[in-house]
Amino acid sequence: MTQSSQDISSLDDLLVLELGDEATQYSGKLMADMGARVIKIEPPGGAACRHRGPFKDDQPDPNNSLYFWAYNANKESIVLDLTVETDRKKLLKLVEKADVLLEDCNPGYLAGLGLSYDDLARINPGLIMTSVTPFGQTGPLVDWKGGELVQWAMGGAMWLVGYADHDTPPLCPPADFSYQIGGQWAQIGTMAALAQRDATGEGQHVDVSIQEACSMVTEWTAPVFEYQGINLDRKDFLGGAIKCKDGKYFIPQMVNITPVVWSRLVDWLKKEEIGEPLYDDRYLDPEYLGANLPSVLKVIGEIAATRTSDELWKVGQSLGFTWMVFNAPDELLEDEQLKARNFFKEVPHPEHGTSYTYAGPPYEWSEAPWRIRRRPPLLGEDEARVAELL
Amino acid sequence: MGPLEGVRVLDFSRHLAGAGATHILANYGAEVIRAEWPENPGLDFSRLMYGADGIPGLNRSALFNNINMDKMSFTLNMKHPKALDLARRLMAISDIFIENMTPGVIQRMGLDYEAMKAIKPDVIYLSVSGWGQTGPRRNFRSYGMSSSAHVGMAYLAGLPDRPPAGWQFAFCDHSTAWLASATIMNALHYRRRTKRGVFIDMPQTQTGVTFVAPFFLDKSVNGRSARRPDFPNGNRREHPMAAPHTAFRCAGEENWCAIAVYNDGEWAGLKAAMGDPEWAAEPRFATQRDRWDQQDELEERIGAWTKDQERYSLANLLQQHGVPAGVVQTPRDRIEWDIQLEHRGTYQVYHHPEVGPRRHETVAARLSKSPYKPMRAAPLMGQHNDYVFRELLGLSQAEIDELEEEDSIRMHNVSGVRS
Repeated sequence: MTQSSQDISSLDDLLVLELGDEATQYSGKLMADMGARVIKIEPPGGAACRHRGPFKDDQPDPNNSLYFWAYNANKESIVLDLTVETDRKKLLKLVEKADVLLEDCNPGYLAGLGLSYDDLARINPGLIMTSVTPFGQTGPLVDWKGGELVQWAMGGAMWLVGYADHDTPPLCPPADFSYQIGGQWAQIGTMAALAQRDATGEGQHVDVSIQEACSMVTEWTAPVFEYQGINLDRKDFLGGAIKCKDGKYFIPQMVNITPVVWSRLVDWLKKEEIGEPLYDDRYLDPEYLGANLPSVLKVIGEIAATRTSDELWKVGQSLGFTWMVFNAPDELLEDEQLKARNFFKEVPHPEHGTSYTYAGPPYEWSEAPWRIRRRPPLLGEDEARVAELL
Repeated sequence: MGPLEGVRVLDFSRHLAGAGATHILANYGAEVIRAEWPENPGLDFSRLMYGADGIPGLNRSALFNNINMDKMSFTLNMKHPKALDLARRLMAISDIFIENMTPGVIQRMGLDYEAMKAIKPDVIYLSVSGWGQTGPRRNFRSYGMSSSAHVGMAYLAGLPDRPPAGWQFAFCDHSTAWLASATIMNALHYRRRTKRGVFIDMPQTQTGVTFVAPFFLDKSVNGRSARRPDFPNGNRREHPMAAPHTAFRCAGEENWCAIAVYNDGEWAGLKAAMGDPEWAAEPRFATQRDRWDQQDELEERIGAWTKDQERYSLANLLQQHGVPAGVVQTPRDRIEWDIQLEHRGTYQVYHHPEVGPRRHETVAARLSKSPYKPMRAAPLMGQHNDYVFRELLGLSQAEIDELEEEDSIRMHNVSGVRS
């Protein structure tokens, strides 16, 4: 007999232990949001992310890091000191019952405590152990220190972000993208190992290198070197962002412009009585348009100075262009598309007597959906619940 | 044996955001059959981009060939009703359907979720789009780059008083593809438990938002927007407080080494690596907060020390002193000189019938019981027509001749115009 879709979440048969921090939290949350029971195992004092700002009301407190909140809802928390034998024994008890162990310890650290994959597989052959580290589990740089900047740089993403004027350095944005990228690959590897376990009953060790994962976010850049010998370099955003009347930048992207789309733009310009230089019929020829892009963008820049970014990109979209605005992330809280899709979630924080608005799901399932069941855990909050497992 | 052995994917996806997902599924052992046609709407435009050695051709694309390894390709004229019948017959013997056409197109073909579910009740069906299948902007256009801009990811890279910086890669296309592959595998587990399939609506903008989630909370909890003076400020970092935290010029043209110091221990390491210069011992550089406050001078002084050094030797020296450091690597550096990526086998040679042996990117999650192994180079368009039409569908020669005669499929002259 199969259960009905009302009864279950897609991963609610899984017990996941998350012995980790920046590198594991994204993947741990993806599983928790699909129903897995995820227990975060934190060192005394709490995971490092708990001590990282910004904090609620800018008051440092391990239970009020917004960075921790963003990626740890739905999880439980216990504290174990792995340097102490009794706590290691507790971990082993949990491993016996666990389906997945996500961890981001320095390579070799767990093995030194008698907690290598081989040690753990002996007590639980079905265990999937996913290790996420800056450079992977083996190799000449295995002991190198990582961190957001180093992973982004060595992975090759940093080289490709910046300005055409090379007086400024390549850039690493303040958003921990390398960790989110590593977390996605942790999820991919864990789900693949789960598929294999569903077929064979056996677990395995998944090895994710954040550097390698970052190298794979760089799209056409490695293949173009391999196929054409071109070593790509950083440039301005798609030929240059244009500032609008409201101070926001927008991108009048001009790709795959057919004569039909172009004439729609000209009709709009004529109606608004602006942009006269673009009425020239020669622009109907995509080749001519491509060759004269700078003068086209100059005219659009003049128009942008008199219009808001919101008006311009929507006009562009309605005419068939892929024009777009540079929003600040938080400005999406007012985004009508996300609002219409009920993307944002109010999550109650009872100890504050209120709810806060969290980002919603990266994808929507038609059944067994993504769900936030509880706010991120207070440090060590779930000792008693977890003790029932021991 | 790969983890997805025995799983068949009917692949109507295009470009990176879709094809990047089936790349991962193929790599883990799924049988991915791509429906393609040399004209719209069946044409994957990435086939036309960056031809090997500068020579154009449907089978020569650097981008396409890099994310379509281990898959198969068959031809299908998506404007022809009989071709769409073949697609439905293939659905009956497949497990997963994935598409990322312009919203509405797959519905007009009659290959939407409800139609496919009628044929294959437990189908896992995933639609990638810019904005999702519902909502007022569901028909808006987008690319990976423009999604990165809309959700605020691109906004976060930049210097004060300048426009957002440029990106030479479409982050959102990759992340959508990656999360799509992961959630499809998640759905396979669900199907195994419940015997039920699922429809998955995958908007690039929503996947993008999950990467900048802490900024929403800073606004919704503290009322602070990321749109404020001096933010973002290049490579400088307040959370966690780090200084130095940027790339420094090294010897040669456009050579950079990234250096980050998060605590006093790493600062001691950096000082030692620099030979304990007098300036670094001054009290105004004593604490992490002091150094953060003096970043202009700190960067200038460290830059004066790095500018004549060879970048890889410098990174090595710093790491030996316990300082997080690494070369800002170019595409060429990664492929030709990175000893760690070489050790992991990040780039593997595939032998392609038209462009010869070429190195391609693999997968970043290595499974101990299913070691990575390059199988097939990216398919030529229609390369697996025989397998799909004869073996999978069991069509007779007469049926194939008839379908080809009416141009529903093309067994020959795939990349040229039918004579």
